[in-house]
Formats: sequence, structure tokens, C-alpha cells
Amino acid sequence: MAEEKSQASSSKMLTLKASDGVLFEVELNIAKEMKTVQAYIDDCEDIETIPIPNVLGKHLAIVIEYIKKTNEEYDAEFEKQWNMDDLQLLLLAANYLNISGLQECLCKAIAKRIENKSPEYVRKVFNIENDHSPEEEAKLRKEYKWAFEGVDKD
Amino acid sequence: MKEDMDISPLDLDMLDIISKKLLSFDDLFNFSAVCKEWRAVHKVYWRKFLESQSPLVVQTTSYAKKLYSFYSIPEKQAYNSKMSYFWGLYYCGSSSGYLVMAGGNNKLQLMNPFTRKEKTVDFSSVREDFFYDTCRVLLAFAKDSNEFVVVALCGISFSLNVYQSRFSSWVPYAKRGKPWKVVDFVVLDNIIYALTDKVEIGVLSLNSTSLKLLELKNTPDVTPRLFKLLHCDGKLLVVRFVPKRVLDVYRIDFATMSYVKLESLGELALFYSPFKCYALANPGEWGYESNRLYYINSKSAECEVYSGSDNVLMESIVLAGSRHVLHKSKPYWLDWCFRNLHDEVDYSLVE
Repeated sequence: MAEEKSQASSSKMLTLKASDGVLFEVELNIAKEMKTVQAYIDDCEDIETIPIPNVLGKHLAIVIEYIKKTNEEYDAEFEKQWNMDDLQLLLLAANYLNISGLQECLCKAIAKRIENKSPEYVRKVFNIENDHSPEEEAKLRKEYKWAFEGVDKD
Repeated sequence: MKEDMDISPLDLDMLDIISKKLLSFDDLFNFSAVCKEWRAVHKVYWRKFLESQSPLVVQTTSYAKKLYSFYSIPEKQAYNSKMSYFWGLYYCGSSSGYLVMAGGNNKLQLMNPFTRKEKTVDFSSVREDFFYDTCRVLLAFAKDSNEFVVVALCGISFSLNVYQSRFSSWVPYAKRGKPWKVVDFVVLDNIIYALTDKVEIGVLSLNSTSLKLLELKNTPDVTPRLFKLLHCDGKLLVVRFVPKRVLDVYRIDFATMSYVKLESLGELALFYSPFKCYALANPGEWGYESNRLYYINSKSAECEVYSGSDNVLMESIVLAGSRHVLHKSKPYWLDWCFRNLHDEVDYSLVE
């Protein structure tokens, strides 16, 4: 990260502190991609260290890397690297930090992972309770029966 | 770890984004079956999806085990649906959101991939009139009930048969072009109108085997069999189209009971396939242009766009990318499908 951009504002560095205490020094223009951080800066101009209470260091590192490198090619490879748990935690981070590009990328990754999977699989993976009554469930199965055929084996 | 997450990142906004990334109708239905919250998100998305007036292209492949997809030209993407059990069945048209297929077991399969509703109608009693690959059909529902009618035209013999679910039977209206040679039909204002080879327009009765011809002035005096009957903005239109050679469009003026020739399509866009012709009154809103005729020939994955003023070829749209072609076989565009259309008939309107 030796190259510096010519604009004066971009050379200012900020420190982000993850929930587990890990510190990250980032350029202002990178930090600004996180709308939550931007709002923080707008409120207190002189701040140098911004706490990010909901995000672990490991995930904040990934998020910062994403912002620096995002492009079509990077995004396509990015989504393949993470398991479902990490995807969800990264999405939590992206939601909290309010980074719409990353939210889209992660949602696309999640959509890909649930393609051709049964509702049971999806519930298991996301720890969702099936709140349909047995009657509703039977009705759903009957109405949408094609959707229950030909899904991947869980 | 899952146990560490007290809250799910999948709030309504994220679920909405995810649902829009699912391009298979099967996946969307699976999505809606997960739980009540996901079902609610799907419902909102799906309602908007089905209200869209933007036509989808019914796309299939030349491979024997046919897979159907619905291609959106403005969005340049295909929506898939596993309809592979249509193998061996012939496509007869799309009507009221249903795909209608006919097969060797003398059954008409009507399937709506958007609502997952299906119907099967046995046509053994009129089997000799069904030459599958030239059949044209119309499916309409009775107002305020679950009853429905199927109007079927055999393209070779020009036999016209009508099935009514309330009687569970087929009734022949015309045999081998007698007493009328009907070439097309459409529903407007809960009435079934039919076009004959003499460019006459008649009202089809569902209470008797009759077609009451309208007395119209200025009937076009040209080769009849290329005409198609359609409606737009509450008006009946008659279109005759041969790429680059002929484009005649007439509006039926009920006030003067006459054919009125249109010099151009004006704001309209026409969507033409060998099966049917449709019109959109405000194509710009749906990703298409005014005064254009969009033509698919059912033989290639290509849509030719003609000017509505002089029938000149303006551009050729082809299938974007090959991401959603599931088999290594040639895709082709069969027909137009307007997902928002739902024809209804009122039995009491015509005696």
C-alpha cells in the first residue's frame, strides 16, 4: 500500500477498532465506503479511532480488502472463498457498516448457495424455524410440488 | 459460528435482494416455502413480477428433452423452470399465463409456471382434429368461478372445437372449415371474438354453437390467412405481417362498425410470433420502443425488430450470453408470454 493518491484528503489515515480489539489503519477514502463510519466522521471530525463493536477483526480485514479491490472479476472470485457461516457474518458486518456493494455481492453468493436446495436445507443452514402449521405445509407441498422435485440431495 | 449469531443478517431488505438473484422459478418457490417471513418477501416480489406487462420469450432447446425458460429481452436474462416432463409434447401456445401442450396420449396439458397451477384436458372425443404442431389455443376463465374454456383451432383442417369445464366436454363449432374458417381468436371485454379467413369478425357463443358475424364496412380485400386478431387499449386490432414485405394494421371502430387502416403503429409496439400477435400500449415503460413490431419466428433465438411505419428491419436482438442454456444444444425462441394477462369470459354476454 505504498502508492498515495494525489488528493490531500485521501492521505489522511483513520484507525478502525474491531470488536476483538484488532486495529486497522485505513485511508479516509476507503473508510468512507462504509456509510456508518462516514456518519461517525461527519459527527465528530477530529476522531482518529473509530470503534466497530459488531465486527470481529478477521471479518473487518476481509471487508477492508473487499473495498480496496472490488471489481467484477474480484467479486466473482470473492464469493467462492467463504463458507456459509462466514458469508452470514460478513453480511452482518456489511449491514452494520452499510456497504451496499458488499451487501449485493454477499446476497448473490448466498442466492447461489441456496439454488436447487430444499426449504429444509435452507432452514438448517440459517437456523430458521419452520413456522408453518402441518396443514399449511401440506398445502404448500401440493401447490408447489414441482419445486420439491429434483432438488439436490441435502 | 452459528451459535454466536444472535441476529440473522437476513433481514427483509437482504431477503428481498436474495430473492431477486434467484433466476429459477423452482428456487423461488423453494424460497417461499422456508418460513412465513420468507414467504411474505416472496409474495411482494412475485406480485410485482406478475404484474409486469413486459413480455417474456418462451425459450426452449432443440435437444429432445426440452427445458423451458423465460427470457427477458430488456433485462437480458432468463428465468428457468424445470418443465422437462414436457418431453414429447407439442407447444400449442401460451394463454392466460399458461403454456398449453398437446401429446400423444390425447391430453392437453395446461401449465402455469408462475402460479404452479395445472390442468389436463382429454381431447379423445375430437382427436381427429388435433394435429399437434399446428394447434392454436385460447384459455379463458369464467368470471367469478373456477370454470374455464379452451378454444382450439386445428391449423390444417381449420376445425374449431371448444371445451367447457362446466360441461366437461368438447363441442365442435366448425369441421374442416365449415361453416366458418376461423384463423384466430381473442378475448376482449369478456367476449371471445374470432377472425375468419374472409377477414370477418364474429362473436363466439358459449351457450350455443354459434359465431355471430359482425357487419363491418371497409373489410380489407386481401389474402386472408396471414391475419391475426388482437386487442389493445380496449380496441380490436387486425394485423397482417410478412417481414419486410407486408405490414397492415387495422383498428375495428365499433362506433362506425368499420375497419380503419392505421398508417403507423404510433405509440404501440406489436409482439408477433407464428402463434399469436400482441400489442403493448406503452412499450417504453417496459423496455421496448414505440412504433415497432418485435418478431420471433420460432426457429432461432433471435428477435427481429421492424419499423411500424415502413416495415424496415431496424435491428436483430439475440440471446445474451449462454449462462442459462442448460444443455449444449441450440436454443430457440418459440413464442411471447405475457405474464400479466388473464382472460375472463362472461357466459351471459353472448346467447
